[in-house]
Amino acid sequence: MYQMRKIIILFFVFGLFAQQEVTIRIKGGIPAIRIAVPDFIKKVKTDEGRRAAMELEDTFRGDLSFSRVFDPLSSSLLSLVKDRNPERPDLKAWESVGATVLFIGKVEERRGGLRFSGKLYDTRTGNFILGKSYVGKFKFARLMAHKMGDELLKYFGQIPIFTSKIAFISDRDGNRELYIMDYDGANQMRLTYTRAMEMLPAWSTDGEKIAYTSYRRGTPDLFVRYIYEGRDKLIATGGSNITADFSQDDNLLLYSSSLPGNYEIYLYNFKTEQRRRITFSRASDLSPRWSPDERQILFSSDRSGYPQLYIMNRDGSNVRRITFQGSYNASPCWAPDGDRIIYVSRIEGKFNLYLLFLSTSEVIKLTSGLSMNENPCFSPDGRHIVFSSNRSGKYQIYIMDYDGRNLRQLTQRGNNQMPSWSKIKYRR
Amino acid sequence: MKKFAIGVLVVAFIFTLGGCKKKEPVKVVPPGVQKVEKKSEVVEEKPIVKPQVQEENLEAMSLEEINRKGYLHRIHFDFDKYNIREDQKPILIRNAEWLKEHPSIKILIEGHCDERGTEEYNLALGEKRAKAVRDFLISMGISPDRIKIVSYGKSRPLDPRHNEEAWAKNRRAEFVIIAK
Repeated sequence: MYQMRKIIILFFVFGLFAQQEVTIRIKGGIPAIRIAVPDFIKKVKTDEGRRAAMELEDTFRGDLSFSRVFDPLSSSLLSLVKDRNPERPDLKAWESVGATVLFIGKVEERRGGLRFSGKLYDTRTGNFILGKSYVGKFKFARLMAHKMGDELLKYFGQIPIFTSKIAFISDRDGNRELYIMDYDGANQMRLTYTRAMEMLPAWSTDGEKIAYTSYRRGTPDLFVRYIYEGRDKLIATGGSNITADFSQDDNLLLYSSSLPGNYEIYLYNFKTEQRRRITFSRASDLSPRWSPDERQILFSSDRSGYPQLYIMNRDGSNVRRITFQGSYNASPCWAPDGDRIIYVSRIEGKFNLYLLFLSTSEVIKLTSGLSMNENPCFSPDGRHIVFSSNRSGKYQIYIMDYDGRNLRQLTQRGNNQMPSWSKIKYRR
Repeated sequence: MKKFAIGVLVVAFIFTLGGCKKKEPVKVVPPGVQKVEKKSEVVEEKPIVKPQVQEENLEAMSLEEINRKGYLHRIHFDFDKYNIREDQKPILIRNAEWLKEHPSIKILIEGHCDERGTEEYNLALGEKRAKAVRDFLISMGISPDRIKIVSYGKSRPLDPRHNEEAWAKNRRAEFVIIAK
């Protein structure tokens, strides 16, 4: 019975998700949910409290505008509603200015920290639909805002992304080391201090581990960093070991190793500590990626002479090529919807990002220009893409929406490359 | 006074240079004989001491110092290729000969690429380049135990610019001495 209920919920979530996608495509990017967020009620005593409360509100508003799920009402529309009683909001008035839902936020200073509470109302039915509150220190103001935003996404059947993180490689302090940051570029933190070179990070599904390549022992070996324990586990050495991808349960790790003489795809099992070779070719088979249902593996291979993308069954059987345009297609990433694949295509020495729809074989170019655009990766909900580009001179991390809109630069100092957006569990 | 001394030195230097240059075109005498004559004129001790000094130097020098001397020379590759170019073979042959003369030396061959490949495929290409160089040295009689390889892909360009000249410089194999 419990299992049954889970399945029904799953259908419900996926149903909504699919519907959302279709709506967005037909309307050309007009989001579905018109949300009114009047100024938060703030009860603060200190300057620090005031700053933290403002940051919290800005972060919350930024999340909603970024989401492509919500369409926050402009301030001029908000100003049309005069009655601002937070306890008994005039829902009819909010509906009349176009809001489908109303969010009333309240931030109070409490013993060196903040209490953030929010109430969500349906303006049409007049129902109170969601209430949440968080307590935390000033420095966690952004996190409280992100958590509230995630609750709103979950309520509307969407995958929560505001607490997601991006791992990347930066040389801002001299050599390439591993860093993480919030999805919006805040809280950039360095994780490794090897003074060697780190490369190509990949998040675990639980968000607590990052697989990455490090030269700390001289050659490119594959490690897993347990972020909150501060320890590393050596996964693969001998030859070069790169481009890992965790399974949904974090027990199976796909990666590429040149141990046999050329790059082949391997599967590492954390429980048994055994590994199995999956591909057998003379070419470089790289960047293996689980399909969302984990029955298939997407990868790139230059077995035809130049890199192209392929899909195979998870046991290595039934290999088929999926890219036929261009002579250099690599660095693929599979969207959570299972239909879209984003990758890099080289034309005349420049890299741009392309989107392939498996169901229709349609290909869309997402970036243009003479700069390099590399290592694309989808957000957990598939609505956004993170990648690195040297369009402003040095390499920086950028995010944009699935249709190429709303480009934002997240990093500034040094070269910042090879982003990996944290994942989320789809199935249980 | 100082200036005068420097002046004298410079003049003397120019004279010695001039002297050498003038002599060189007249190559009637067999080169071996000529060399001894020339060197004994300028610095008498050199022909005898030189080989010993070099051996001792390697012993005394740290690995960093040896690497800074640049006894082994890098070679370059064509775009997207890892075969050893004909014009680069003489450099590799010279490197192999030097390695034969110094049998205790162990080396690391680093494969590097220009920026026009993905990180992943450039790591693969750099590895192929390093392997091609290793295979060439092995074919020249260098023991495989003395050679390690690593690929850095495009992460360590010699020239950070984005043009043909920079790319040609960056597609390369470097030699690092890791044991003596």
